[in-house]
Amino acid sequence: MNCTRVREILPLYAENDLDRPELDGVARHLDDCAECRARLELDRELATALATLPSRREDARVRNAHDRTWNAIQRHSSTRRLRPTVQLFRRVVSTSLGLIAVVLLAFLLLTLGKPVLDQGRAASTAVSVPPSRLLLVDAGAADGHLGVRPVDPTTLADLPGYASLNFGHDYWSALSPDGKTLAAMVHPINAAQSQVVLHLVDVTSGREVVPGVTIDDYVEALTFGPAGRSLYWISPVFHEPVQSWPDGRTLYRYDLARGTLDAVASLPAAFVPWAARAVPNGTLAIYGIPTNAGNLATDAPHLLLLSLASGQITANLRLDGIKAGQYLETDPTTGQPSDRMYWPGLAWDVARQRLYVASAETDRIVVVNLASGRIIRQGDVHPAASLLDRLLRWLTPPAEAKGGPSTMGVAELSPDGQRLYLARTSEAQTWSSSGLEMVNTGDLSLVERVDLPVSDLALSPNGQRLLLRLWWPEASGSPAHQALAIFDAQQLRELGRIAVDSPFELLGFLSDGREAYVGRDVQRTDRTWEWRISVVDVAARRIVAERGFSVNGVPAFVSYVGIWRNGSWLQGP
Amino acid sequence: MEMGIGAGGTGTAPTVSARDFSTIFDTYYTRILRYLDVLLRDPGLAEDLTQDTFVKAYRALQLGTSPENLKAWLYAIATNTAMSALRHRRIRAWLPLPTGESAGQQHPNRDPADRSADKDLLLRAFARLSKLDTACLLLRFHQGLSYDEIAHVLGLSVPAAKMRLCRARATFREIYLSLRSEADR
Repeated sequence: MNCTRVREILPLYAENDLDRPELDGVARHLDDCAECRARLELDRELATALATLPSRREDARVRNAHDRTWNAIQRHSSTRRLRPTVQLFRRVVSTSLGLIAVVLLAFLLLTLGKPVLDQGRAASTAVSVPPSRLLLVDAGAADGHLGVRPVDPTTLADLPGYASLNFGHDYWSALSPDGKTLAAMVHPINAAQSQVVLHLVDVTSGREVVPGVTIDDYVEALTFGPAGRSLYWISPVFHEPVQSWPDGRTLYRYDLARGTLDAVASLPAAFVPWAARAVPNGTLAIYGIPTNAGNLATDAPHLLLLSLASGQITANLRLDGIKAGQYLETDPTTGQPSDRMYWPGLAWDVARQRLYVASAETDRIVVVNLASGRIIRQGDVHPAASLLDRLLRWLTPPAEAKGGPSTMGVAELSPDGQRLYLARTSEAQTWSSSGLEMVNTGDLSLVERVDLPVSDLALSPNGQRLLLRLWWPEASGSPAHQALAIFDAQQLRELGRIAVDSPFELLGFLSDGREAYVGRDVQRTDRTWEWRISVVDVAARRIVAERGFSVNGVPAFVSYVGIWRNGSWLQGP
Repeated sequence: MEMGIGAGGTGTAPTVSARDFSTIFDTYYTRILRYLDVLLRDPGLAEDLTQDTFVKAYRALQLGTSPENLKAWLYAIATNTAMSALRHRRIRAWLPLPTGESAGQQHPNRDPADRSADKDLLLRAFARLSKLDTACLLLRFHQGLSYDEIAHVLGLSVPAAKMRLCRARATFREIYLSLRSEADR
């Protein structure tokens, strides 16, 4: 028996779980092989070390968490608790009728004076060629691998004649600018190391090529170059000897035509990239957060601009006034330190070389020119009607960070680049939403505000329709409930509303904007759940098809290629 | 094929009372929370998903589910909830937990000859292991589940679960060794 085989089955030997011939074979090999004996010893040491692995949480925090969870179970004994991702968007209505009346009055007066945008200029110049297909990536295979297959975008039924592709147990992906090629960095099931392997999928034919590119680490910010001829990604460099926090990151380029791989640039050590876009002038714009080894943000987010030709960083902008990433803050209810996430809203306008960053906890917006690396505009969203609006804002202050899990902003940009749609939510002691705001990108003035409990929004590719996720929390006598609202995006006029029976996620639109998708956990039998995707006919304002996914009775992960969300054609995991 | 949530059940038992559930909750809450703490390395997310786990369990028990192995059933819900959430909400980077010994210290006097397992390296090795393999190792060694229980959690036969764990251990060991040799250089 050779070393390779022995090392594969040593853990079974250590547990006395081999049959007699193999047991004897391993024993004989160990007599002669000091290296394999050392590995057997290490297996035992590792098992002991794993048994004593500490959790960072102190006992007091465990007790707090225990009590909060127990209270939550009691609260939700008759209604479903929200999924954690949806939970971010809870809202508590605590306003009195009198206050509501004052706010409504002020709001009506405000809307009389709102400026009108030049809607004739609404063109879809920023939208590139859409993909023609909807691919579903679902975890339903027996060995747990993610299967990828094209489906009918209206019925979600599998299209006949296509084999399911194997995307391992995890993947990162990007769609080429022409919408024809999906690049995926796939973690194969049972890989010897934590490797990722590049797969290139022809979206139209459903066929894939595996060009033999393997990366021995995780991948961040996978994106195609501006012309779609190269693929870029960032991988960490692990060489710091004690802590596993990466000591730096490298930007790699894979030339699809030549099949060559090279390192383009090194990025600052503590800069964690969150999103990247290739700009037509040959720049890669990388938005990220300076972060320490404890995963806490140490500074405002930054935008790096990097020349793809020279590999030089041409700009490193600090986005002042924006809070992003994880902070350790004191929870006002317990006085204990508590992790809190801040997610500003990002809206990329690559065609016009702009990035809009909207603070999640204040009215701050920063607009960056992605070509020059300069901040074009920064300031607070300011109302059009000054006195009344100040009164309105005084009565309904924006959510502030006061401890709790998260503060989140969502930003979507109209295709003509003139309107920015914003919603901010904060979960502290209570849940609050800023409502929906439509902002003129020219002067950051508030064009219109809709006072609904908006927890998420999605804009159709042509900029004509808005989907809003509305959430009303549990109140005395009425359970929490939610609805999907469909709005005319230019007039901010509600066209219809669909009640949804459980908390859901907005997935986005199909290319022509006629179909939209939502997903939610649904209890299927007394002890099984599924992740159910619903197809919404936007014009008819009703759900026209549904399909559920589950593994072992719990909702299966499903991802999508070909859904428009947040200015991109890909809705990743 | 419908397999239920890991451990299966008869589905005909009387519903669990609030008092019974309180006992279940008190017995398993901390264990599940610490399991998800180490697996996810995100205290807030671990807390959220522990809550999700118990809410799902509560509702299923209220509806008459009677799992054959309650412990394995709870770990199955926790593991599947975590895997599903991780895929929905990609964690930016897998981070080391500051361990008791290393937080604030950098092992200045570490003896290169000291071959006992180093917790920092252990956590670094986790960062390179798949989440499912990490879950396997934690279920077995951190949480002390039997092969039978792990098989229930993963929805596998007992021999398949043993094989999965064996592969996870071998992979983990080799990653650990390569990290240790890097650290020694």
